[in-house]
Amino acid sequence: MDGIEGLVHGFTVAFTLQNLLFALLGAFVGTMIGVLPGIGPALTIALLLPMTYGMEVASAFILFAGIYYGAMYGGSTTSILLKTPGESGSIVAAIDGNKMARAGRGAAALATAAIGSFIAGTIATVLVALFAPGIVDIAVQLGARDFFALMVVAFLTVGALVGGSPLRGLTSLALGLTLGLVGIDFQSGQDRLTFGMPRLLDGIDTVVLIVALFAIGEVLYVVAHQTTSKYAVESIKGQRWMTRTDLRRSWKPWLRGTAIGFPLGVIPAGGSEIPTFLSYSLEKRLAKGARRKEFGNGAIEGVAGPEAANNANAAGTMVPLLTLGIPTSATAAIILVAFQQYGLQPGPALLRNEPDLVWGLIASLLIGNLMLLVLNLPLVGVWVKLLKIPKPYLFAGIATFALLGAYAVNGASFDVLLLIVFGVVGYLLRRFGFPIAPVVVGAILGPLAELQLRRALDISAGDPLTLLASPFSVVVYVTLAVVLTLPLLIRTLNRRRLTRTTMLETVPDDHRDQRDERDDREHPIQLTEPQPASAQQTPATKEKP
Amino acid sequence: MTNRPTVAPESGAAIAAPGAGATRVPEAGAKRRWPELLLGIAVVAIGIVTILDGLSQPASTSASGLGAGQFPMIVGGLTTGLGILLIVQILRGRLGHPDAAEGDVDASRLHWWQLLLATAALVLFALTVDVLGYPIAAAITFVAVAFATGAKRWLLTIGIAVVLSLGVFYLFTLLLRIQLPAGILTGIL
Repeated sequence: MDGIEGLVHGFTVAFTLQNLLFALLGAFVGTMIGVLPGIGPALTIALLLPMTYGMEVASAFILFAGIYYGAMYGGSTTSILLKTPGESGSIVAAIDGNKMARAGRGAAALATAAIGSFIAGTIATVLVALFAPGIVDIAVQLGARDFFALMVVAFLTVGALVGGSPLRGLTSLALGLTLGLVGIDFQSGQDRLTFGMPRLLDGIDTVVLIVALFAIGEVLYVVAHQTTSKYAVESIKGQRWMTRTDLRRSWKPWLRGTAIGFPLGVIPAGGSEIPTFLSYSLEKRLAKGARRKEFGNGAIEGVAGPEAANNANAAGTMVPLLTLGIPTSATAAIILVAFQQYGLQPGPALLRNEPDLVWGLIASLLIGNLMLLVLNLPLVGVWVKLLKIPKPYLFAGIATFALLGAYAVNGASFDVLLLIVFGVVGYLLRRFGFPIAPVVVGAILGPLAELQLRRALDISAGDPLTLLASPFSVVVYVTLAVVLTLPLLIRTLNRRRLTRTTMLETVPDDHRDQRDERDDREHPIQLTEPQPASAQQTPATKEKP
Repeated sequence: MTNRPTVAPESGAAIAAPGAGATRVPEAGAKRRWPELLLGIAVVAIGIVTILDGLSQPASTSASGLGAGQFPMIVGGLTTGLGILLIVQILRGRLGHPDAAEGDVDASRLHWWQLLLATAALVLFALTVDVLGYPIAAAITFVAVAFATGAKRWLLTIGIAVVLSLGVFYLFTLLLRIQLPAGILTGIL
């Protein structure tokens, strides 16, 4: 089945009343949870996973599709009105979006984010449909060593490129790989890293791990370091949506953002930070005259481009996930877990064996995307009301819901204790600049990588050179070297240029922007980038990869 | 409840003045380094434990000679190496940057007792959920976390906690048919 054919087939699966309702429900619930500050798509799916226990597989995934995109839409609302992005892909859009909201242009910022996300999501999802069958055709011919090579790519790119410091990202990855080891070895039946605890024989439940790292880590981080127990939500009451000028200024950034986001989602290039950051700096470079000065102070292009890039990137990560079974972001990793709970392993065989499921999922991503636009443009005022939940109740609610989720997995308080332990780990990682996504990807992909590695070596009777003996794996490793060095190079160049010359002038500090403008300029944007020493007055901030 | 730091008036004024951030004060640098150093040491320790665990695995009988032990040794070696690099980096003064994806947080200040209260509340839930039952344990945890996050009105908070935990209990047991323990309230609920 080629892409178009498959998509048409997918629509016949998705267009039943029941499945449309599930898509709508997913979009609704996903947006609702995603709007809550600090809850990104990964955590939204992890928290809502129990909702689908006992559902029919296709319906469950159609529900997920809605939740996935819904959480992303919700996230941009919080970014713009609250400047609490919740996940790294929304950070860049939060800068100018929040400035626009403060200047009374919040509605326009939300609209450009929503429409941009819709356009990017739609184009990217159609591209997923077009690319997937071709990649599957290649993928079915790949052997264990080739898959192992691809997984090494995923590890290194996710580990080295997510977050500001490659060393810290790789450390996160190593910790994740270690967690993935816990439990019974699939081949020999030996127990590893269980320390005599029978409860650990099944391994660490990935849902518990994800909820702990994201939700409990988040709650503890906020409790320990919040500056105020009240949110300063910008109002959008009575504001105009996009004007003609806004539209004229937005459509090119939407398309450019899509063009940047999608390929970087497909090739694993390390999360959604890099594409959004690239899109922002591209838009800024393309802006002329007074427009350029607006960047950092509420340029609509600075919201339109990165938001489109973020959504296109998220859709792009579905390509390696669905065709190869390789998750390259925390969200993709959780979708993989969701598949596994139904006894399915995403990969080349899945598209062959379960075409209804995969094509139904892709089609419902498109349907969900459209529903979200319809839900979001008129209803955004309703979502904004969710931001009015007082912070203490919100975080107490997140904490108790996370505890409930961990308890409900097996009905065992042991899982709750694990949740707390990893929650504290999640807090420490967050506090000291270690990205969370590589931990999740390492824990989930690690066991799969070990499987492929041992399979490959079993075939070659233990000759490690076999890993480099297929043309495909050679190509992959060579490409890896390029992929690894190139973005780092681009980023270094970008950072130099952005932080030193332009960001210094225009982009205020992420967290301390409530002081007056003059003060702001002494503290360039933090993003997730470490600042070069030259942009800061003290030596301690000079962490450079 | 002395919620001083958490109830600072509008977030703006009270947030760190320039230079007050942990990583920005040179003379405080050595002291600030300790938590991260401990973290680096913990990473090395995790790596070593993983290597030892791998070494203790029985020899493989598979064609590749790879058994349960080799992959852990690779992962453990990687972890140890990265931990050592991390310690070196920290000693040279390169500290981590706190997560930038949050609003209204200032990582250079730590609300110690609020953090302890919230953690204790979570642990309390784990220890008491089977005995006290879900509704009571969850309500206590909710109240404690809410106060750690700056809630001020006792009665309202307790009211919300009770309604919420009972609501969740009935939703799960009646509607979703997922059993939650009723604990000491068995027979009453």
